[in-house]
Amino acid sequence: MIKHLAKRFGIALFTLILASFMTFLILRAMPGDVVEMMSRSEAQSRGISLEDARKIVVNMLNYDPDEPILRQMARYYGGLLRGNLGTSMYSRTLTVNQIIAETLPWTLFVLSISLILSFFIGTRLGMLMAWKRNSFINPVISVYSIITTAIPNFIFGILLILIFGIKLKWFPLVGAYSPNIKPGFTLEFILDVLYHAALPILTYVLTSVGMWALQMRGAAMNVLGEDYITAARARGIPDNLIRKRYVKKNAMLPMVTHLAMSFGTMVGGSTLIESTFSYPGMGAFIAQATAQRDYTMMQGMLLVTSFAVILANLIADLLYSKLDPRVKTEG
Amino acid sequence: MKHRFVRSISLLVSLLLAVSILASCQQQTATTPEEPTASDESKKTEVAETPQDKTDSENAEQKSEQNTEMVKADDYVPKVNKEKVFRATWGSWPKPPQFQGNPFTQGGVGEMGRYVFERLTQIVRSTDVIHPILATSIEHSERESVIKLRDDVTWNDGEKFTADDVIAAFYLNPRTICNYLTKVEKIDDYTVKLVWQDPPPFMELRDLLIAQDGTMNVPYHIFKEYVDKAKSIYESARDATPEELAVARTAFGKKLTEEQDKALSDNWNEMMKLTYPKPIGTGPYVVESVTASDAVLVKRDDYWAADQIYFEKIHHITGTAESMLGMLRNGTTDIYNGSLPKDLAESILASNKDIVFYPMFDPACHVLFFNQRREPFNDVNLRRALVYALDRTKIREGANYYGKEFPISMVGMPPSSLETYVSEEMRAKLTKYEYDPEKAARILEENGWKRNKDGIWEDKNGKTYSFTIAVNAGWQPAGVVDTAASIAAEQLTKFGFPTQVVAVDSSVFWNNAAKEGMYDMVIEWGDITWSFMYPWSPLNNTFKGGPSELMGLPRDPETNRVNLKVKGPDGTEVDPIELVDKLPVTADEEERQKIIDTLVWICNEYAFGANLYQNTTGVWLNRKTITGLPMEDEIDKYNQFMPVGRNFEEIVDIAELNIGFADMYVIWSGDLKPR
Repeated sequence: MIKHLAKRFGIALFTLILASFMTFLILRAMPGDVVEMMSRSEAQSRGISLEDARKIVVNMLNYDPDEPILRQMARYYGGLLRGNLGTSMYSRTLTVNQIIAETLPWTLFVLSISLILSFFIGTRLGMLMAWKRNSFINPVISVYSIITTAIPNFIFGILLILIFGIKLKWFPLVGAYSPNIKPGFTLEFILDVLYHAALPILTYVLTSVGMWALQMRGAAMNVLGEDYITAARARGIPDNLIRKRYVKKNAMLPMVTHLAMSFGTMVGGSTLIESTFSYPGMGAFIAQATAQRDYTMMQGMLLVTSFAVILANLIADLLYSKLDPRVKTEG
Repeated sequence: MKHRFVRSISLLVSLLLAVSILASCQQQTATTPEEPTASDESKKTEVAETPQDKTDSENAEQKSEQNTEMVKADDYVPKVNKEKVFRATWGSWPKPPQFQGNPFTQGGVGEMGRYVFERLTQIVRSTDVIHPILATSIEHSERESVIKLRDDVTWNDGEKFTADDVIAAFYLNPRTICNYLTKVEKIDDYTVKLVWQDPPPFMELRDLLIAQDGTMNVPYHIFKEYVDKAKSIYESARDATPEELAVARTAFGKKLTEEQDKALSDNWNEMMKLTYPKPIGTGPYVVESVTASDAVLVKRDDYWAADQIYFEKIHHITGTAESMLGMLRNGTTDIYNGSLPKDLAESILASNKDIVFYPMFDPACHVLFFNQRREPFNDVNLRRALVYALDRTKIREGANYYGKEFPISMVGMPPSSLETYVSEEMRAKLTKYEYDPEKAARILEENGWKRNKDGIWEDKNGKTYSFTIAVNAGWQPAGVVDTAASIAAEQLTKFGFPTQVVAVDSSVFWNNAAKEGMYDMVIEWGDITWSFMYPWSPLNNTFKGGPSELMGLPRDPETNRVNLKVKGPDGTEVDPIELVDKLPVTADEEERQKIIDTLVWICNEYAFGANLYQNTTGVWLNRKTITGLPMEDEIDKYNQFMPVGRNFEEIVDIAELNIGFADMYVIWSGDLKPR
C-alpha cells in the first residue's frame, strides 16, 4: 500500500515538474513582442513617438527581454522553491501569489456551485435517459446535450445577458457584487454575491449539464447490459431498487472520478465565462495575462492550475480504488 | 413522481434554450437616417458645406422627418435623476488587486484618471479648441511661455496645488513638449515659466503642445524624491549639439551619458514601486470603491469649482463589448462612446427612445498601406493604379457605413481638414483618385504591364503576383477592417491581382507588419491625428510613426531614421523628414503653408496608400437621466440620430461629449446635468 502511494505521489511530482518546465518554455516560445505591443499603445495614447514610447515601456515593464532564458529559469525555479510564483510584469509590488489569493476564492465559489449543480442534475438526467431509453426524453436530452456541448459557453453567457440582463433586467450584467455594498460576512453582501453569481452559474450549469447527462447515460447503459442486472430482474427485485442500488451505484463510479478531476480543472476558472461577466476570478486574470503577455502571471497561474489538476487526479485515483472494491491497489 | 419531476426539468431546460435562441434572433425594426450629415470639424472654416455635405444633410433631415412617427415627442417621459448619479460605460482599469493610485504604473488608474486628474488646459480633439482648467492664462514671448495657475486648488489628500506640482510632471515624465524646451522654472507658487529651445515652436503651436501632453501635473509632495532626482540628472547632463538634435530631439535638449540614462531609468523603476490605494488628483471626484466591473466616485466638497459640478456621484461600469452595449440598450448607462455598425445602431435607437446618438467625424481614417519593401509596391505607377481600381464607396458601405470616402490616395492628415490647412492652389493640384478601373488598367499598360489569358496582370518580365492584405485580428469593433480588407481583396482580385486577406493575431501583428514588413498591404489607422488637428501632428505620425513602417519607407540602417528623398511639386528634390522636423519651429506662416502643401502633395502623388474612408465616431447619451445635451429640443425631430454639427459651435459641443475627445469636460464645464 505504502509502495503504491509512494509511486503515485512520485508520478504526480514528476508530472508537476514537467508541467512547470513545459509551461515555462511554451510561454516564452509564444509569438508576440510585449514591448512592441505596449509601445504602439503608449505612442497612440500619449501622442509621442514610437521610440520614446519604447523607452518608457521597457522601463515600465518588470521584464527584461534580453535576459538569457537559463537565468530566467533559474530565477523562476529559485522562487518556486521559496513558494514565490514571481511578480507580475505589470505590477512591481504585487506578487502572483497575492493575485491568486485574491481571485481564486471567486472562481471556487462560482464554479464549485456550478459543478455540483450540473453534476447533480446531469447524472440524474443521464440515468433517466438510460432507464427510459425508448421514451421521448432520450432524444430531447440528447439533442440538448449535443447542442450545449457544441456551442461555446460564452455564447450562452451572452444569450443569458441578453434575456435576463437586458430584456428582463432581472440580473446584473457584470461584476461579482454591487459597488455600494461593503464586502464582509454580512447577509446583505452574501445575498448580493449570490445575486451577481446567478448568471455565471446558470451559464456554466446549462452548458455542462448535457455533458454529465451523456456520460452518465453511457455508463448506465453499460451497467444495464451486465448479467447481474438480468439476474436481479429474474429474481423479481423491484425496478426502483434495481435502478438505485444496482445500476446507479455502479454507473456513478466513473462519474465520481470525473467529478474529482473536474474540481481540479475548475481552479483554472472558466476563462470565457468569467471574462463575459467581468467576474474577478482566476479565469479572467489568465485571459488578461495572456492578452498582455504577462509571462510571470501566466506561468504562475498555469502552474497552480496544473497542480490542482494533478492533485485531483491523484485523489481520484486513490478514491476509485476505495470506492470500487474490484479495483485492487498494486503491491 | 420523481421521474415526472426530472422530465419537467429537462423540458424546462430545453424550452429555456429555445427561448434564448429565439430571443437573441429577434429582429429589431429601426428608422434612423442612413448617413450622418457631413460637415468639416475644422476650426477655421465656419462650416462651409460642400454640395455633397449639403445633400447629405438634407437627406438626413428628410429621412428623420419621415420617421418621426416612430418615436413621438409625446411618448417621451423623462425621469428625475434624484441621486444625481452619472453612469458611464467605457474603457477599463486594472482589476483589484492590481488597482492602486500611482498613475505611472502599467495600466495606470484607467478610466478613474478622467475624473480624478485635471489638465492645465483641455484640448477638444478634432476642433483644436482649448479650455483653461488649472491654468488661468498662458502668455508667450519669443523664447518663453509663462503659465499662471489657479491659487484655489487642492489635491484630494488636502495638500495645496502649486507650481512645484507642474514642474514635477515635466521632469518626472517628460513628454513631447519637453523635446522643445530647455528648462521649466518656478517664478512663484502659482507661476511657471517654460523656456523654449532655439528655434522655438511657433506661438500657436505652443498652446497645442501644452494642451496635448495630458495632465502635466503630479503631486510633488508624493513624488518629491523621484522628481528631484530626475531633475538633477537632467540639469547635470550636457546640452546636445544641433547635429545630435537634428537626428533625434531629446528632452530639454540634453544628451545623457549611459550612466545618466541608467540612473534615470533606475529612478523611474523605483518610482513605479510606489503604490497607494487611490489616485490623488485635483479633479472634482475621488474614488470611493473599485471592483473588476464597477467604480464609484464621489464629488469633492472642497473642489475649486464645486458649484459647477452637478453630478454627486459617478458610477462607471466596464465589461465586454456585448455587456456594455446591453447597458446602453436597456438604459442602465448614461454615456457610451464610439460608432456601431448600421444595423446595431438602428436597433438600439429603435429599442430605446431615451438613447440619443451624436455622430462626429473622427480625425482618423482606415488606410490600405502599400508596403514598398515588397515588389511590385516599390513601383509608384502600380500603387496609383491600385488606388484607381478600388471602389471605396462599396468598401465604406460594407465596412463603415457612416464613414466618408474622399477622392485622394492618402494625404498624411485627416482629409476632412484639407480645406482648412492646405492652400486652395495645392488642393487644385492634387490628383483626384475617383474609382476608375479603366484608368487603372491604362496606367499599368503604359508601364509595361499586360493581362494574360486568365485576366491576371503580368509585369514587363511576364511575372504575375498574388497579394496579401493583413489586418489586426484583435481590431475592435470586429467586422470593420476585416470587412474592408475582404471587399478590397475581392475588388483587386477581380481587377486582375489575386489577393487574399490574412487576419494576424494582435500580439504579432505590429512585429510582422511594421518591423518585419511581411505583408504586401495592411489596413490600419492612417491619415490620423492622435492629438491636435494642426497638420504637424498627423504628418509627423505619417512620416515618422507607425504608418511610415507599414508603408515600408526606406530607412538609414544606422539611425533607423526614414531616409526618403523625392521630387516635390515644383520638381526639386525634398526630404520629407527634414520638412516635418522643420515645420514646428518655422515662424514664417507662408513657409509653414508651403511645407504642409508639399508634404500633402507627396503623400497623395506617391500614393503610399489608399485612404478607404474617414471614420465617423460618436457618442450615445441617455436623455432620461441627463440633460444639457446639444440640440436637445430637436432630438425627436431627428429621431434620436442627431446631425453632425451644423455650425462650429455645435461641432465643438458635440466633440466635447466624447470622452475620448475631451475627457470629462462636459461634466467639468457643467454643461451636462442630472435631469
